[in-house]
Order: sequence, then structure tokens, then C-alpha cells
Amino acid sequence: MVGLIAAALRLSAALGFAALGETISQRAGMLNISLEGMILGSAFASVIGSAATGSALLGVLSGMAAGATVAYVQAVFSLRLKADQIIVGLALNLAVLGLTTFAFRGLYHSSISNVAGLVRIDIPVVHSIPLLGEAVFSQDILFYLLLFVAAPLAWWLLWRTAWGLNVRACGDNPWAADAAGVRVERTRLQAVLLCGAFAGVAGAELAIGQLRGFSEGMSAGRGFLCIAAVIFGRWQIGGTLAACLVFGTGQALQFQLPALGYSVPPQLLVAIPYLLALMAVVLLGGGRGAPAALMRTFERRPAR
Amino acid sequence: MSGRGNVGIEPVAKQQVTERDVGESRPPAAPARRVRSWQGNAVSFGVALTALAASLLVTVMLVAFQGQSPWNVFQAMFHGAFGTSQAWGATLYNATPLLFAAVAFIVAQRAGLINLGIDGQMYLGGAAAVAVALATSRLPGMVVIPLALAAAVAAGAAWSGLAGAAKVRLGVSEIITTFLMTFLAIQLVLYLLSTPTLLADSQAAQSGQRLEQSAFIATDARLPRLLGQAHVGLVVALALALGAAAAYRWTRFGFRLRMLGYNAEAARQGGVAVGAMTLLAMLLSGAVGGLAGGSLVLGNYYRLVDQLSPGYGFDGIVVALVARSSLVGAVVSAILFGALRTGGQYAEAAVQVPGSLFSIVQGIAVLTVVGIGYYVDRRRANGATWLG
Repeated sequence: MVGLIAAALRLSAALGFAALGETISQRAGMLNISLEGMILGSAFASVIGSAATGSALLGVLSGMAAGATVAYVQAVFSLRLKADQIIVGLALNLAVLGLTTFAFRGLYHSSISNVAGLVRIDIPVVHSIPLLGEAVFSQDILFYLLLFVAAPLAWWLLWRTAWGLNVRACGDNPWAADAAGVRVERTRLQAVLLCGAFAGVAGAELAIGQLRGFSEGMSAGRGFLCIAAVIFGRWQIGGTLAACLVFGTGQALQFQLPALGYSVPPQLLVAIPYLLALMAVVLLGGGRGAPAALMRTFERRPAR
Repeated sequence: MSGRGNVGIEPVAKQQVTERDVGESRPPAAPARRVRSWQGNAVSFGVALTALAASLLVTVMLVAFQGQSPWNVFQAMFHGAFGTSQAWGATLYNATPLLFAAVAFIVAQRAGLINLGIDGQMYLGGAAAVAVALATSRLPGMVVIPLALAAAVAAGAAWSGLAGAAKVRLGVSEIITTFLMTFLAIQLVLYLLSTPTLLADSQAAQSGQRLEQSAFIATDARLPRLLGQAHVGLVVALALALGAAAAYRWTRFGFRLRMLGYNAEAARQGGVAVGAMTLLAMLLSGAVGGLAGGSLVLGNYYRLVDQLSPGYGFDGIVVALVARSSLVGAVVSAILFGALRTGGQYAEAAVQVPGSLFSIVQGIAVLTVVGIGYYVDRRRANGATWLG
């Protein structure tokens, strides 16, 4: 049971960072299908970074840089070149998958050794609480960062700063925001880059925090799960984190339920996150609560 | 903000956006799509060629970086894709599901919808086709094949129809619903494969093996081969693509569907039943997706396998995009991507070039199309009519 909770929280953390970033980005009106590519690219970069320098911190930073790079490409094509966000996202995912696989096979023929992993931290007193204590307070540092730093920071940014207000304005009606003097393209770019950095942390958490290595295509659809989490969380920070927790639990159950003796078809467990997101979208008002101009390309003068 | 062109809207004053403004106003309606003339089609063709050239250039660089001769690689790829009739067969074999998926995507796109659920529709269509084929295994092939394909069409259409109904009745974005439903469909089919149903392989079940595919369908329920590996499914896909192109151009129904995509509001004013047409467009798109699945199980694998579609749905979207959403262009584009896959596999075996290059090439091709398309559209908007 302890193992289940710990695993659920761990898996949720990998989703959580990316979902936070995606929330901010979607609030600005940018749907990043390339989130999958951001996570995969940053997973690869963080492994390279930490193996090369021996420092987990530098690994995380490399991951963030890689995530931001993929985000930048998405932004350039969607914002400057006015391309459809979904198409660009799909293409980027393909390109990143190919590039990371190519580079991985080229540089390391089998597996990477001496990856500096993230250390597990036990918080002194609380750690000793029976059952919950060990599960919740014995995670690696990024988990705590997520809960206590990243999420409040994201919330504060989005809801308590002028920048966050501009972001939300860009997502709801960029034309009106533009008329009021907000630099829409720039704000959207910033939101996407921030999403890339967050996704970078997620990739690092996945690669050097949990799995201690890289394998081809290791992001395994997490990017899409995060998008589903944002939808399920109704584009709110708290809701998105809760969604990630639910999805992480589902993922943990996939492995733990058979061990606990219940025979639930594994396909059902894999399907549950998507089912939940679908129900949220359909039942709770078809995307009400979504930024009104989500995925809409912004142009000063609408295309004739 | 970049000083590019004159701004039609002058900012009234540098007002602060307040909390009250956000979330209350609604953005203007989406702008209409442009009609394309023959010059536009020619330009699109040029854009696609340039995109492929650019991605091949990147391939050259990557291959050279790895220390091999790009010329050898290209020779191997070309030979593997077009060198022998066997190669042509393999290329067309790989192109068929891509063409189906591209047609499915374009049919939805022309009605203003984006169908991201093609993979799911393929899985369900394939499952339905296999179920029918296995259930009617005593009947002659002439009866089984049409029945199975019809079942595939129905299954795919029903699945996409759900998303279409949600869009029409509830206003839910079909992008989100079709996308999420893909995963559900795949898991559902995998589940059906693993339990002792009609689909599962009873022989394997008895011997205790893990169930990952269904039993083989009867020999005469299989689609006949045309050239090498290529089978009748290709003819079906071609007929669909060309037939749809003709229908769009020359029938009233096709015209109405196109109007829906250009400008839904104008279509409504013009008497088009927007809701019904939207649902119909989704049904048609899903039907083609289901048919793709039927073609895969009856012509490619002769059974239902758990890796039925390794992303053909999204690859089909790439194919459609490189063809700039032209149905005829999609035929050429699908053959080209089929060639890329076949040539890539051959090169991987012959010259030891990694298959991951294929993904990179696809990604770069799309990004290039998109990038050039921007400049073409910019020029067009500023008055260059020769661009169509």
C-alpha cells in the first residue's frame, strides 16, 4: 500500500511539471502537441548532461534547455509563420523522436552509464508518520519542488501578476488584447518557452529521477496525458495537479493491482485517464472554461 | 509590433487590460478559407517538392555526419523503393494505409473539422472486419470481403460519429474528442484481443500462449494481390481519393460540403443544414478510417494484430499536409512516403542507416511545407495573384 502511494506520487510528479507548463501555455492560447517532444528531448538532454558532468543539477538544467528549444521551434512556426499548432506539434514530435533515437544510437550503442541520479530526500520528522509518511515524504527533490514551489509559483504567475493577466487575455481574445496594447506574439512566445522549461524539468524527473537512463521513445505518450490532464483540470492549476494525481495513480495501479491480487484488464487502466478527460470535456460543458481563443492563430489583420 | 504592413486597428490608448475584460469578450469568428486556382495548385506542388528536397538535404547531412556516403544511401533507398517490381509492390503496399488516412483527414478538413482519431477508427474497423470474416468463414470470398469491409466502414463511422454528434449537439471540439477517443479505441480492441471472444486465436489460447493477434482469416477472404505485396486495397484507396475529388468538384453535395469548410455562417445562410452536414462529414471521415483498418486486416496482415497501426493515422495527416490538402496530391504524397518507408527499410538493411532517419525526414518535411506555405500565403495576401 505504501508502495502504491509512493509510486502514484512519483508518477504524478513526472506528469505534474509538464502539465503545469501546458496549463500556462494553453491559457495563452497555445496548444502544444509537441509537449511529447519536449519531454522526450529533455529526457535525453538531461541524461547526457548529467552523465557528462556528473551533476544531477546540470542534468536538470540541460533538460530545461532542451525543452525550451523544442518549445522555441513550436513557437516560431506557430507564431511567426502562422502555422496550425497541431500540425507543427505532430511534426515536431516526429522530428524529436527521430533525432533522439538517432543521437542515442549514434553516441551510446547500448545504455548510458554513470548517470547522476536525483537523490531521495527524507524529510526528518514527518517521514516517520506510519503509512503516509514514508510514502509522501520520502521522494526525490523534484517532487517537493513541484508541490511547494512550482505549483504555487505557476498559480501566482497566472493569477496574481500583470503578465499572467496578459497571458489570459491572449488566450481569450488576442485581438482585444492587442488593441489594448498587449504584445500578443511576445506574450504567447513567453508562455510557450515557460512551458518548455517546465516540460524540461518533467523530462529530467523522468530520466534521471525515476528511470535513471534513456531509452528510445521513453516519454511514451506522457505529453498527451498531460494535455488530457489540463483539459480534465479545466485549465486551472489546482485542477490540473489533481488530474495528474489521478492519472499517476492509474499508472501506478497498472503495475500494482496484479501484485495485490486484483485482476483488472490492464487495457482498462491505460484507458482510464483518457476516459476521464473525455468525460470531463463532454459532460462538463464541452470545453467551457477553455480559453476562448485556444489554438486560434493570431494575426493583426485576419487573413482574407 | 514589427512594423510589417499597416495595422488596420489603431490601439485606442495604451490602456491596461483589466481583470474584468479577460474572459468576457469573445474572439471574432474564424476567417474563411481561400478557394484555390490552378496556379495555387501548381505552387502547392512546388512547395511540397521543396519540402522533400529540404528533408533529403537534412538526411544527407546526418548520414555524412555518421561517416557514410550519402550517395550510397540514396542509391540504396531509391533501389529499395523503385528498383524492382517487388520494390514497387512494397512501396504501394506501404502507401495504401497512408492514402486512406490522408483521404479521411482531408474529407473532415474540407468540412472545417480536424479528425485526429483516424488510428482509433482503423483499429475498430479492422476489428469489425476480422470479426465478420471469422464469423462467416464458411461463405465464399465474394460475399465475405464486401461484408467485412462494410462492417469496417460502419465501425469507423460510428466511432467518429460519436465525436461528430458531441460537436453538433454539445459544441465539444472534435479535435479533443477524436484525439482522446483514439486511445480508448485502441485499448478496447487490445482488450477484445486478449479475452476469449470471436477475435481471439483459440488455438493459441488452448496452448496457453499470450494472445496478441486473432486467428487468420480464410484464404479466400483475403484481398487478392496485385503487384508484389500490394493488394486490392490500393485500388479501393485510389478510387476513394479520385472519386472524392470528383464529387467535391462536380456534385452539389460536394459543393455544399466544401462551403461548410470555407465559411460555416455563409453556408447556413445559403441553406446548408450545417449541423447535419457536420455530422455527415465526420461520419464519412470515420468511414474512410474504418475502411483503412479493413484494408489492413484483409490485405496486409490477414488477421487482427495488436500493432495494427504504427501511427498510420498521424502519418496520414502528414501526407495530407505535404499534399497541401489536395486529394490528387495526396495520392502522389502517399506514394512518396510509402517509398520513403520502403527505401528506408532497405537502406537500413543494406547500408546500415538507422530507421530513425525516417521520422526526422517526415518531421522536417512537414515543417518545411508549413514554413514555405507561410511565405506563399503572405505574398498572396499582399496581392500576388500569380500564386493563386
